[in-house]
Amino acid sequence: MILLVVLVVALGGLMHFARSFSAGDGTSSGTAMSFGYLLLTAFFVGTLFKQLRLPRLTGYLAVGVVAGPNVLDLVPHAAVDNLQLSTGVAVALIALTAGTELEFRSMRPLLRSIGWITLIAIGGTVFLLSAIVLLLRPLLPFMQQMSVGQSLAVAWVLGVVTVAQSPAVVVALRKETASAGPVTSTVLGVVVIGDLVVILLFAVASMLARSTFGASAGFEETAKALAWELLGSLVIGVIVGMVLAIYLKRVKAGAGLFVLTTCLVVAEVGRRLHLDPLLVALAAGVFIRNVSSVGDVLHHEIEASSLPVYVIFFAVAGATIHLDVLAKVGIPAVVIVLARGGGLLFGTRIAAKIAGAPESVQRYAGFGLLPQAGLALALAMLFAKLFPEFGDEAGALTLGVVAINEIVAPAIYRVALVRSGEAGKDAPAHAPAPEAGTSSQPSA
Amino acid sequence: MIAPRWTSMVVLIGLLLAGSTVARADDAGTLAPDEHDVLDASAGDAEPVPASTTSEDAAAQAPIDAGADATDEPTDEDDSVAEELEDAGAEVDAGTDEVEPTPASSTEPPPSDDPAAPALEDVPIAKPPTVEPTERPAFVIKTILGLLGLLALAYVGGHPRVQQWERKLGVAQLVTAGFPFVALGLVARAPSVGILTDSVLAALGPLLRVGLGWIGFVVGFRFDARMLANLPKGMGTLVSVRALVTFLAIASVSIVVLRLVGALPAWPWSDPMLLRDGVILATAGLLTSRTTPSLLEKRGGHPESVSLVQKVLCLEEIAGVFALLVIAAYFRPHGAGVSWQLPATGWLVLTLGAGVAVGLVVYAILLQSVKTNAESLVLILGSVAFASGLAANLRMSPVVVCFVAGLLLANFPGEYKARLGETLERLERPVYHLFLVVVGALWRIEDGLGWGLMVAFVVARLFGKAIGTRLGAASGGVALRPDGRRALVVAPIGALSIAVVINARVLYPSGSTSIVTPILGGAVVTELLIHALTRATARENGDGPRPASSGEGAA
Repeated sequence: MILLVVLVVALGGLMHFARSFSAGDGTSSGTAMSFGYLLLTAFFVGTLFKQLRLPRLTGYLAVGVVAGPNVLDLVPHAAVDNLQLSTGVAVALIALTAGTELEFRSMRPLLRSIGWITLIAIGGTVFLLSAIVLLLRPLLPFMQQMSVGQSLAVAWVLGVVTVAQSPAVVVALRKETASAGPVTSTVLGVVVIGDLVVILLFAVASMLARSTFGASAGFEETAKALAWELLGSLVIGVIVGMVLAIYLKRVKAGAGLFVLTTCLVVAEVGRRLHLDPLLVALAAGVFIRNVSSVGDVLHHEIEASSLPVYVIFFAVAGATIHLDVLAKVGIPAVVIVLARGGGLLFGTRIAAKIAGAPESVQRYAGFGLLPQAGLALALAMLFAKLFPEFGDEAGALTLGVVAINEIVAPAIYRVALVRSGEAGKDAPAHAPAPEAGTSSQPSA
Repeated sequence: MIAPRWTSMVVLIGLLLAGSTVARADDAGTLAPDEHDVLDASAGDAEPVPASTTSEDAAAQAPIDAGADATDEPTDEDDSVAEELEDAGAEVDAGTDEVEPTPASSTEPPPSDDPAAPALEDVPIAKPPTVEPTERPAFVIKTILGLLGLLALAYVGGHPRVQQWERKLGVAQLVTAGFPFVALGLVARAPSVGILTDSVLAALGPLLRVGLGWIGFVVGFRFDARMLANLPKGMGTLVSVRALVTFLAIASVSIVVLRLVGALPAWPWSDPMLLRDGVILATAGLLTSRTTPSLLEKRGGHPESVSLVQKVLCLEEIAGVFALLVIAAYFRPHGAGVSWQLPATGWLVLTLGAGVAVGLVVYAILLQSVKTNAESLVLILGSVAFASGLAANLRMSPVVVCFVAGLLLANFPGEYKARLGETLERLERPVYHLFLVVVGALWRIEDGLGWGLMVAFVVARLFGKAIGTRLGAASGGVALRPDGRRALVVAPIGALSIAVVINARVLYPSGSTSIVTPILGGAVVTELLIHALTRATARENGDGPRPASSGEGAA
């Protein structure tokens, strides 16, 4: 362990040494260096965290936070921006993985639980969080000038934004802990469906809120944008899934690279077209798993190259956490985090009981809904853009909530997976045949 | 099964496809702010102008000639001239930024109007805007069609009948060597195609640096120091004489061609830039493709010849990397963007030190925490990216720094090598082919001087290697068999040679673009020469024609 610490320090020293030569922030060399530095250091710290019985991905996040622009500034803002390309690919790859794990036939027994949890835990927590935001109104300067109607609408939007979950963290932790069982499957199903629900709710809530501020950027326009984002993403996702399935079935060789390429195309093109890359890749994965016969092949191909993708994704995510914001909105953010946690845990327990889910699901599934990452951040930024009058301040609050959940929740969910007894139970059923040189995920 | 090269090509096209979205978006919008950066910085890497040029002349040349203030050593006076010019509205802003260092009087043609500059310049990377809603349907259709196109290309490219045609047409060796990827880069860069635009190339800048580092790392990792202990008698002399003669032949011919045919006939013979370009070409030319021994073996060469050729090439690689180290240390940029001023020997030590430091860190990691292939992948990718970025950031050579790191890892004790080698092998072709696409995009094929230089380069290299091999073998007392001698003389140009010139272009982005053609064009010509020679030899021996690919993959 001491050697690992020494190595981390040595890498930091080298990074500092190189950056003292020229302020090449955001340049090609600076970006290449930051990529390598984050990959290596996050990998190390992840290993250290594993030895401390914490999730590796919390280690990756911690590296991003500490080395990022808010603390040591070894990886500057501009480099973090440039690395968003790799995080885009990572999101698509993670969503593709999540999609391939959603096999409707095997999930049929869990559908009832998933439906109830989505309705009660997620839906209920949205209302709870909206109420909490209203109660916190005296502590939130941007809400003090608003009318009651406006406050209600904005509180609803904030409730939706802050309830968002993270399929990325759920998938990464499932892989890291090699978990399998009803809790793992239920959580995955809920966060994926929850994502769709949150996107839909956000569109409706933000449209309503904008109308209370006199914005006439009409219903039709917003509905079109929403339809494009949701339906367009799903349809294009199915087409992408078909292309991938044909490639995996007919061409086969180099499938791993083809999958990565597709993820890159999905991420880059999707972002510029205002599609949701997460939904596109998710739909592709679901299509391949449930309609084609190459679901296992795809899963295996993704496994081979997924570790660097996860490492860089979470490290960059950590580097984008705005610690400075936390200081400003600390108290309300902590209150919202606690309320969100309580709402999701309690709601899941009740919903799982109503659905007659196994005891382990009742007790532990709620913890899987706590982590937040990409979607919540994206919605927070979108919120700031939609409401320029107060969006920055409100955005700071949501970013603060996401930051806390991003750091703390993965460790909690990991403990839950271990306690549920599902950690380490994932047999390599997805791998059709081990291929030389393409083994392994890190163990828990 | 589809051939790996086609698979990689499919991936590359995919990447280009993604890149094209950036291009289209750029075209749709107004000039992105970052494009100003690109232009500024391109000028910023100002190189000296002819000594006769006055500041007034320079002002008259602005904004093209950003090096108006660059004469010998930059002085306060020079800076003040630049400031005055700036104040006067002349666009010489970058003249103070990065000036070619020169031990003596230096003159250089005005910075070339290099369309590939964005990938070479170390400037902030452009941010592409989003696509307008009205353009989205066309965009989506194009993307889907692109993906289907990739699929079709992969299927057709891997078809046995297509591969049979390649062999019949005699282009199989060029295809195997990765030249279709260079061609792909060239085509994608063409204005009528418009895929690899300035902004896309700028976004691929980090990849170019990582590609350079990757080649250096792979070459270093394949060097087994134990070979040095078993060198036959006279081998040192053979390699030294051969390398020296080849080096001198290419350098002198290149300098003469550049001086006589180059853009500025007023270029003095003593100009360090002239020397620099000559030395870069000579360094690239003295290197030989790693695949030469296996090619010789395929042709039925004697095992002794194969072994000897292998050792010669290994030692030449060391010489080539050393030459690159010296070039990067002695021709340093300096100016506002660079905060350290060290003597050249300091840079030599620093470059080696950086390589050693990275090598030691990676070694420690390998011993400590790498247990699986996935972890090995993270480590290799991270290490090469970090080392390449670090080197490029310090204006050192990524090839050299990564070579040193790879060399150490190959020769330190430990059981990690098999896994590391496997990981390197798995990623080698995709990385190399992607690198070739970017290289193709940087290649200014319409440059007449480059082609003239290419002819001189190929001839000088051939004669240099022939005379050097003969002299070296004679003075070292090494008995060379005819097959071994032929392999050493008509030797294909390898990945490391390409890396040397591209590395030079990264280090001196506004330098002469003409140095790329001799290596890329020369590589094609040499391949064809080898193919013809093999067929002729086979006919002489009464054998059927054998496949004669140099099979250059990576490094």
